[in-house]
Amino acid sequence: MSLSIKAVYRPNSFIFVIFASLIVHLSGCSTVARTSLPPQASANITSTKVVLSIPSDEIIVRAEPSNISPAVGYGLIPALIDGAISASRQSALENLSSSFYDKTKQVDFRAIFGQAFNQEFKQQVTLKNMEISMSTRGVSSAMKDANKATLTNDNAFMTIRIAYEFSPNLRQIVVGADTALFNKNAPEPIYKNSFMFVSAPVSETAPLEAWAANNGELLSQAFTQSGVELGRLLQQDLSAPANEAVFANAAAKEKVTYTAPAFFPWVFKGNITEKSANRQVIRADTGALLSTPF
Amino acid sequence: MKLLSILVTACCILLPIAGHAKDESFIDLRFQAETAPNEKPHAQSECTLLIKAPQDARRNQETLGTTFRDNPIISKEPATLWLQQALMDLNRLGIKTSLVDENSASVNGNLLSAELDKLYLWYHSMNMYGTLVVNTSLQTPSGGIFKHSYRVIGTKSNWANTDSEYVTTFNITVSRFLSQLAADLQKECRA
Repeated sequence: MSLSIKAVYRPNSFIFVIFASLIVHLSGCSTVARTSLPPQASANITSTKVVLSIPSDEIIVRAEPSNISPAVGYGLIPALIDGAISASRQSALENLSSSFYDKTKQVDFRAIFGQAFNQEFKQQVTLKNMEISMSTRGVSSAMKDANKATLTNDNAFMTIRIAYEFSPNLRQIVVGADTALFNKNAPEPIYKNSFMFVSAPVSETAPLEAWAANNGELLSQAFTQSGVELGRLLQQDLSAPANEAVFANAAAKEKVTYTAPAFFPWVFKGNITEKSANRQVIRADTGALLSTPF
Repeated sequence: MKLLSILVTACCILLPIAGHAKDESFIDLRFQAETAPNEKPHAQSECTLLIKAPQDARRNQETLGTTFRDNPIISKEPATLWLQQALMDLNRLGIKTSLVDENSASVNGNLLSAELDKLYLWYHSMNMYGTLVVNTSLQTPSGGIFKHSYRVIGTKSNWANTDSEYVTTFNITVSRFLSQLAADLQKECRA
């Protein structure tokens, strides 16, 4: 019986995996999300193959989960009830979301995000001779091992796993990026970090209609902005110093506590390292970077 | 008896692990109608249908989603072949179907063209979901053309992230699509 229960509760969504890993890093539940790139290691790299992995075909309009299971302390029966309620809510959303999908069918996240991200990230100077390719596959251990096996002493391989979804109230878009850089010799990534972009919220009364208006104008804008922001943050973070200095610099800035508008609303702590008219960049206590509205 | 218990326990532990140890999930995507146990047989209507081989219009023609380990789910056979098998099952819903001969110069009868726009698997809560988007065009002998775009989701409980569960989810999804399509065809093929 315990095996079945374990299977039921296995966190089985790639979005869950990416966002959960990101949020765990952000929330301070784990040690440090960031491994800084040592200057010596980057100096030795003469070329880098980058895989931008975006498996999701479109943004999914998800119903809010019922969360009965956590409330009653988990178990098989509550899980089944949770599943049934979620399925029923999802079914109710189907008609509402079909109009959204009709109006936004030309809005392709891969194309929009890929172009914006590449344009921004290509400006980085830390990794020489960078070649970026896009993949519809995820970043599995097997994929990493296969690519690591092709490395020579002077080149590197980088994975950038992108996940995107609506916030539970459908008013915001959350885009996460998990990155890791590998060379031939080190068993662990020589650089890694997690990033999150949160869009500004749209209308409270009819969020899906707001995203879909004018053939998905706001949706396209949010996708583009997420690509630019995440490309910029990754570029900055690659050339940033070791964690000690990064954390010391951040500590001198304004402290903040932020709740991510994701399906698992974890609260995390950090410092605001950048502020513009309506956005801020937060360096979480774990080293991860977030670009959020305020 | 003790040995048997150990073997059974080992199998219980290793089978789910083995299921996840793969690099890719190459699924055997074959259509099998997923219907309610109490579904009544459908009366045969006068509607007869010639079906053209579906076209693949998906932006991502490589994968059908990812597994828990972020491995791609890939169909061994073209997904359009699975859709074609499903469309032929309109017979079960009271519509006589036959495949159109691509070489024949003219077609006499209702001609159904279908375009596979999206097909992928995703997860939410303890369920897995399939999303299917199909664009259809029905051409009647009288010259009428009826175009529709169907977006359907199908769901089932996710017990162990197995390949067969992925296939079942897709079949639940396409079976829902067939019900909607059949209802429209019953009206339109007589027009």
